[in-house]
Amino acid sequence: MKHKIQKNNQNYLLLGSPNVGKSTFFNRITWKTEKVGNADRVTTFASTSHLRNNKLINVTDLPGVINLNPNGDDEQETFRHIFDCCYDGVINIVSANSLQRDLYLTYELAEAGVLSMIVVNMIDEVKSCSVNKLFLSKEFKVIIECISAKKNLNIKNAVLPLVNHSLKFTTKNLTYSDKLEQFISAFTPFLPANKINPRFIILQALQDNRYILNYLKQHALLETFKQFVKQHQINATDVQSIALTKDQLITKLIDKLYTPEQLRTQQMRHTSKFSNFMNYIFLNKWIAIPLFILIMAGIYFLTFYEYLGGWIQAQFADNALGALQTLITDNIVALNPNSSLQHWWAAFVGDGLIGGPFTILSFLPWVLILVGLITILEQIGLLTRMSIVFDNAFSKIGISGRALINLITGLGCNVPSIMMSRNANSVKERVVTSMLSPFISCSARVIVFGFLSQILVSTEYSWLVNLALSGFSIIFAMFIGYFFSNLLFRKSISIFTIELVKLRSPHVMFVLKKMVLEAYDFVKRTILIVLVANFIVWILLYTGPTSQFYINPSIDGGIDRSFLRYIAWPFQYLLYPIGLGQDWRFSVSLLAAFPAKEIAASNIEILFGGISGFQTAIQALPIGISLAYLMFFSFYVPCMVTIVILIKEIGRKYAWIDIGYGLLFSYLLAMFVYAIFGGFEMISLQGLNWIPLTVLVSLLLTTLLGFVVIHGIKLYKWKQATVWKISQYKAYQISMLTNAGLCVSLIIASSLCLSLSV
Amino acid sequence: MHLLNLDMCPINKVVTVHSFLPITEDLKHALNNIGIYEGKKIIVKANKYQNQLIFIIINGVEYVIRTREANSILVYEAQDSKK
Repeated sequence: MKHKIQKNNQNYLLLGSPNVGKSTFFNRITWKTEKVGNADRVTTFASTSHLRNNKLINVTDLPGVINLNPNGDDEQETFRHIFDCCYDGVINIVSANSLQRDLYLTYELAEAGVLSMIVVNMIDEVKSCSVNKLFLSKEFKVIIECISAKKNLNIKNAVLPLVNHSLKFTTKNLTYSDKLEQFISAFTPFLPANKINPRFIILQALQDNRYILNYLKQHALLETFKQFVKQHQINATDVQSIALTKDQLITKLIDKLYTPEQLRTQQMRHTSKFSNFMNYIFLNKWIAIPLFILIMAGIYFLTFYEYLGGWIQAQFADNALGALQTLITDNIVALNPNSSLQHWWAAFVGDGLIGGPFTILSFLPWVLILVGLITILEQIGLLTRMSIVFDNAFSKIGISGRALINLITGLGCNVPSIMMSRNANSVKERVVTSMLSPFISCSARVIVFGFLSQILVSTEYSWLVNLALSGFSIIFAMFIGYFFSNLLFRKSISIFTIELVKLRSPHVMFVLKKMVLEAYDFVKRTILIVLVANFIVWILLYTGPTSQFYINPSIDGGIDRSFLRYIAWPFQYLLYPIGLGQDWRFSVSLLAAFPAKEIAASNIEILFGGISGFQTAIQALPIGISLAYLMFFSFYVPCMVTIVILIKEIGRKYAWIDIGYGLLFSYLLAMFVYAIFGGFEMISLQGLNWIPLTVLVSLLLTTLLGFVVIHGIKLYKWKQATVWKISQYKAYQISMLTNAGLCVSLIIASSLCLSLSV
Repeated sequence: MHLLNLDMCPINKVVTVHSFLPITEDLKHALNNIGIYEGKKIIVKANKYQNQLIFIIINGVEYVIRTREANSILVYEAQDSKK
């Protein structure tokens, strides 16, 4: 929920380089629980909250920046807060591990005239190199506090200056070459009044700060500025000297802050045998990839294996939730055992109200174990190393390895994964990474996979099915990414720069806190969305146009006369080519899962009269139908919240392209699976499977044709060395679009044929 | 002054960024944002783990960039080069 900023409140900004622990500090001093991780650029949007014991003091956690020249959308947001928002102080968080880098931002903030306090974090990690607060405070003339946000050391002292209102803005004017100083003096009178130091604005404009250049443009000063640059003959060397001056000051300051021995200790962390060995293992091109696949397999094994996570889930479902549900329904029936109305009430409460949410809640142990283990991966710093190792594969589809961190985060929930793509270095990367996120199997989908795989395969191999489907979702997302990046942003290249973070041991309290929060969110979502959706489905199933309530629709035949049957009718025909039209209840479960994916699992119970009913129904159908259901369910549309966030983050155009292609590809995939695993069996039954097979053959032929055209042009160009009017890209685009168009028309035609014949 | 591409420069020695080959604005900003700009002293730590990537130390912090990006950075050995 967005925090409302009161006018009379004191507002402070938390600012610092990436991975210095801003969000960890923010979570410590407020009641918020923002995402933290051992990776750079984890925070991608501003978050505001009041202090734990003082509602009059607001603190805003901002995305990390190394300097005040923003590039990505996350950095733009930070700069916008500094430049445009009202605040009473800026608290600069620096890491004791990387002072040399972090002080650059400190100098820029001091130059801008907004620096109010410096908090040196992670002092627990540099015991041998205690930071000399005196020298720092002398240099910047602000309050300095040394803390460890992770270990909760000295946090109270760091908050005191905020509570006492003792923070003041400090301005530090650095001295540059005479030419630059003359230029600054000459242009300063032109600038409108602003809380930011005019010197800083001019220096940033010289360094091509896009935000500042836009600001000058808005005030009709850009042309004047350019003329002044020409007049004063400011060249690239002068601009370089701005950053170099700060570098020299930092070097001098670091020499004062640390003794040579302490400096050597700090430098040793890059060359220590242990860190080198760990990096050799986790970054080795032969060892790392199998190792990471093993780690991910281990996570799924621990979560879903029947004697580990599966056992915990079964105990929780049977002994806790199952017992509670039986107790409630038995007590309702016991009120008047002979009344049929009482039985109806018991069914209504048991199945309609609490049955569905209880089914979903029974999977809570899976979600918690999965989220906990992924959090441990994040905390150790392995995700950063994974992204480095997989960058080569990701660069092939036009994005950087950084996207892998987002995609792994998406295994928990797609929404933070989309939000994290703000840290991309280019628009292309941001849009394509966001477009990939909805294809990743989030925890809600994993619940349905687990539920179905236990029924369709066995509890023993449930973990393997889940691992295969999650792995397949990443491969499928990469395939879609290749398509998008070639079709939508062909000219733009991806950029990969990432901080190789230090390997750290996971903090148990953080992992537990994350699991508790996930449990809270899960229960809240289940109660709010699943309960309502199930209630609607239940009512529509138990009632029909004859104004009659069915006591047990699965048995008394009411199911085929219910409202739900009539609503599902048109969708059922659309799903015939992928086999799911065989039973109209499949279309209902897919439709109802639109608000939240978990609903599919709970609805299956209601629609089929329990798990045994579903088991009987699905076993009577070819295996291809179950597989087609899994394939289609995996990718067909993201949940409602994901769609809203996707539109907000990348705009309507790309969001609808993403959803449309997802729907199309999942339909084709399900059709393929159905034709291979179920279609051949259907020949003898109905003789209708020529339709999906025809579509598939056409698809394969047109794809083949597309590739022949592309490579033909490539070969011809190479031999003739002449310029073709139609580029390789155009041919690719035309063949793929023709392909897609043909598929859509065939699908529509086959659906129509089927509905007419049925 | 002997100029080299960043991916070709000696390991574990301080080098100074001289200039960039023609690169996009996005790439220049991305490099600037991790502290790579003309005149900056950096150390190439390794390029042995992965063929496509090089590991550099800037301001005491280790970063990874692609060789393709590193190719566009021209460096020379710093006068006060030390291990």
